[in-house]
Amino acid sequence: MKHGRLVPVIRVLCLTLLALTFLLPVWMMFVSAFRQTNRILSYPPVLWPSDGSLNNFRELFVMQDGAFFRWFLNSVLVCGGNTVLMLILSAMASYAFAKREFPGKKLLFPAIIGTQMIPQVATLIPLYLIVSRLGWNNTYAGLILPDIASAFGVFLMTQFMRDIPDSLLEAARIDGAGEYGIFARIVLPVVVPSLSLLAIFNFTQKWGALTWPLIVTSSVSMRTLPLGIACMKDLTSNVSGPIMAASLASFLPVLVAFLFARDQFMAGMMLGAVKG
Amino acid sequence: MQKKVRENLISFSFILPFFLFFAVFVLVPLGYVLYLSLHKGTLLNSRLVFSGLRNYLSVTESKDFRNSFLNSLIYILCIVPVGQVISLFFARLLRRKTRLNGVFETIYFLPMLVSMVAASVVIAYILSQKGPVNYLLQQVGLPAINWLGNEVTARISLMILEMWKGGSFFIFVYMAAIRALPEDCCEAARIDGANRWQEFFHVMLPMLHNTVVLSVIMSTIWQFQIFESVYMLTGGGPLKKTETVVYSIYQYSFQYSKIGMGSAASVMFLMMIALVSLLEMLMMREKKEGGIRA
Repeated sequence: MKHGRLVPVIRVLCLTLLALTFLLPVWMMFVSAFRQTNRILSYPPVLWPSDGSLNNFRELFVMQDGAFFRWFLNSVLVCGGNTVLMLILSAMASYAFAKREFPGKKLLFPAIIGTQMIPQVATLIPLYLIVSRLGWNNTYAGLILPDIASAFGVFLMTQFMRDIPDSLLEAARIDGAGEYGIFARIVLPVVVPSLSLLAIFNFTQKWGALTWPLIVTSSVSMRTLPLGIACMKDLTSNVSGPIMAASLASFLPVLVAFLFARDQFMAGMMLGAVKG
Repeated sequence: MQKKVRENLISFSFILPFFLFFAVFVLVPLGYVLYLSLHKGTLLNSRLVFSGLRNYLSVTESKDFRNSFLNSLIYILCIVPVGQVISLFFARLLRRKTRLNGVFETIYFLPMLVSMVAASVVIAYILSQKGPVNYLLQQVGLPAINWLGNEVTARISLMILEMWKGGSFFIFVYMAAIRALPEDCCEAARIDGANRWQEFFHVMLPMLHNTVVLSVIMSTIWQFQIFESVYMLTGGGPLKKTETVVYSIYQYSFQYSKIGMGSAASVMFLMMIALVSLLEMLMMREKKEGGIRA
């Protein structure tokens, strides 16, 4: 027990070291976003942009006729649209699975849950061909609709809806509420907290998604923010001031939302652990 | 009877919107990829020629795919154990819910909010020729490293990026599991004279069995899917030495337009993931029968 005093010190030291490892890149993104490319790429690296300016952002905003704003707007539309539709479809299907009886339910539910394991990258080729056949290449429909049917969303919401007491629904039925009314006015309000967690989970994942937009879009104006940034890299080099500024601009909205609703974000992002 | 039909119709109307999209974008693609893997064709030309299992043969004989399957295996074998041990260690350190630990949790959470694209941009800078890491190396008298220039350090760079971006996820998984353990279990061990290590390995770890299995499998499946980081950080180079399975599938399908081979590789990739998932279920059940609670 003679090391009793030392252990807490080592513990905080380890935790601090890891914190610095996680923080340094994020901090360098802030710093570099305000520094000129040639300064970023020269010795010594600095921890404060004392030679900084807003030039990177100016350059970013006028680049390709303001393409950056378009990408930002595209990302908001695509992630927002995808999340809203995914929530609606999941909630509706989950209500039927959790609270209603119908033939085929015992077969359909496990079949849907079973596909959770399948990563989307395994079916990129057929997905691309189907989307092409529908004429959705390079459109918002093509960006948004292919993954609104989320098996994970149904799995999660069904779990939550099973907890709603049947007596609550029975009471509404006796009061003469229709089935759709019960869903909209009784079930949905109860599961709003779970829906918002699912929304955070889905939105943050889609906000960073690169693979599908890379495949389905072909014009500069249809790019999402991550894809736009990825393509900026091809124009200049791997590291440049404007790319840093663009990366920071894509990260800031998520960071601000996180700082305002830290606990919801943590719970929402960790939903992935339930996915298993 | 009529009422029953009506009730069923209502149920189906709740499922239908979901099922429509599920069928078109999940079920059909699954069958379709299997079908495509047995045919020769290109992305733009819709005419497919049946070729039996030849695509599978081409994939197994292809230098590119052999190379990328090997690389993926290397990533899994390095990232999974290292990541899990680190995560467990730090989760154990964060066991108590204090204000200071809350600050650490907030910081550890940040990389998960950064998109892979932004993370790649930043890590590319951190590891660049005159970036902070090389600067630190030189300050302590070591030579600067051209991180993305040779195959070993390029792979390490990629693993650093993957672990920086996604590694903290498992800290939180383990932290939640450890915090859910009953307080008295470890106290008993402490009274019996166990030290911290004994307590951790002999009391805590066995109780975390299912969490460990889940995390290892989940991490394995994730590392198997590495694509965006390769696309962003190394572009597969130098000399294809950092390419992964998904990167090769992407290249063959969407750049070389060989959708037959791309599909065959996708099916093989899917079967391996199914196999790993099956392993998980087997290992989980085993423990449940053993009567140890998760």
